[in-house]
Amino acid sequence: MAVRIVEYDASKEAAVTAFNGRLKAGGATQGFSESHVPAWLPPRPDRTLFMQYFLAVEDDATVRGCYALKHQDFSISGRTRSIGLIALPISEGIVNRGYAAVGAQLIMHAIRQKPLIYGLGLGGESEAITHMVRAAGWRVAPVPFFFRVIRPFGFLRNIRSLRNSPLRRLLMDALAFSGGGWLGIKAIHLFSRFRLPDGRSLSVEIVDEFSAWADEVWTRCAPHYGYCAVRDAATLRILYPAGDSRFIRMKISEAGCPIGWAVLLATDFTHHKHFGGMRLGTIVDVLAIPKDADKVVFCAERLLRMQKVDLIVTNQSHATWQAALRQCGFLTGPSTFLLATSRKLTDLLNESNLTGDRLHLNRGDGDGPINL
Amino acid sequence: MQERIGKIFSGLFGVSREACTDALSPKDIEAWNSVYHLTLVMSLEEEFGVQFSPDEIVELDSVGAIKAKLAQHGVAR
Repeated sequence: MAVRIVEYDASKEAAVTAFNGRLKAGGATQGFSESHVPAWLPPRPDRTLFMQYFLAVEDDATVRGCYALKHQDFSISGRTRSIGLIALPISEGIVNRGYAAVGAQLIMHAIRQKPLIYGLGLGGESEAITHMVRAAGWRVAPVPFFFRVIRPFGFLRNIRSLRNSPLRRLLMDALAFSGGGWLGIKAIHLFSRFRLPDGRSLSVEIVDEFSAWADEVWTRCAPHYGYCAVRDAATLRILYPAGDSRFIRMKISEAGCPIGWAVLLATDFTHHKHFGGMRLGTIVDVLAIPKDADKVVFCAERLLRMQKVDLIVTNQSHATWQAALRQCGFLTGPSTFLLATSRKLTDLLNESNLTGDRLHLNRGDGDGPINL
Repeated sequence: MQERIGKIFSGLFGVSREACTDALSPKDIEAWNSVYHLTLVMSLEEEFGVQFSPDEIVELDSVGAIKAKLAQHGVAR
């Protein structure tokens, strides 16, 4: 079997369509882009932040696998380095055992392309990709998950992962309709020892796009984070473009000086496998110096509350942001959002003594807005 | 080479040294899936001090093919 990995070009689009057809016929739910140009972060000569697509092609004709590789500059102990993110690896091996080796080929190709590479999210511990990267010697750890219930009625009526038996559904409906849920949430917040920051000197502005003030924030913040994707204004304009109206871009100032920002989502779900018909608030991405992190979380929570969300969720790896979330009344839950770092990247982080909670990673560092 | 490959297959798949013939392939071992293939490749690279190219990885589809590929990398039979 001669299977070669090549960069995806227009000549292979029909072969990808046929590949997707075979996956679907085999019962798989995954599929790959039928355009060779990435819809998110297409390569441009002037950009170091871009997505690249690769295909595993048999006999130069039939597509047997594919993956996406995101290239992005990171600040690591003050030095800027290009780091890779592997996304969407799919092998025909999931429907035809004869191509089981293609999955291994894709992972090894990604590692050889970009030895400093990571995966984020991955779908949880039971997913094949997680087993694969573990087999390749990657370090895998969950990115802590935080949540805060804002509207108990909507939460209790829709949280499918908790409403998983008739008795539980009955109990949760009783709590929702009796007001017991509201009382319970109030009690949790009353007895939790969280401490909200003084918001009187803070001002919040919703901006259409990140501009020069975001560069000032980045310059001040970068030295405080040992490992963090470059979050200057130009990068943020690419990640959260002005044309994408789903993102709420929030600038937080104190005494007239910008101290940080947050990117938020308020999404209405219908029949979501976890959130049912909930209105979900997500703190996608954040930045501030550590002493101001609680102020950013406080403002984000207030803004999402005004957006009438039922629940706010976020994943944050850095100890600073975890502490800020706890201070603002967020609780932790089990996380299936995983960070996997290649051997070379793990070694680099270890050399700089950058353990998990010193890395600033969140859902903004993943494989695209579709998975937020 | 046979002895060292047999040791890897024994450890990974529980295959006896005698059963580790050149014809042995994923068709004969249910557990030889994508994850185990990657583990096998990493084990071979570590044991023999070689590095396979991504395109070679998919060609390691039997014990005989593994031996041939290792020989191409200068490992003595």
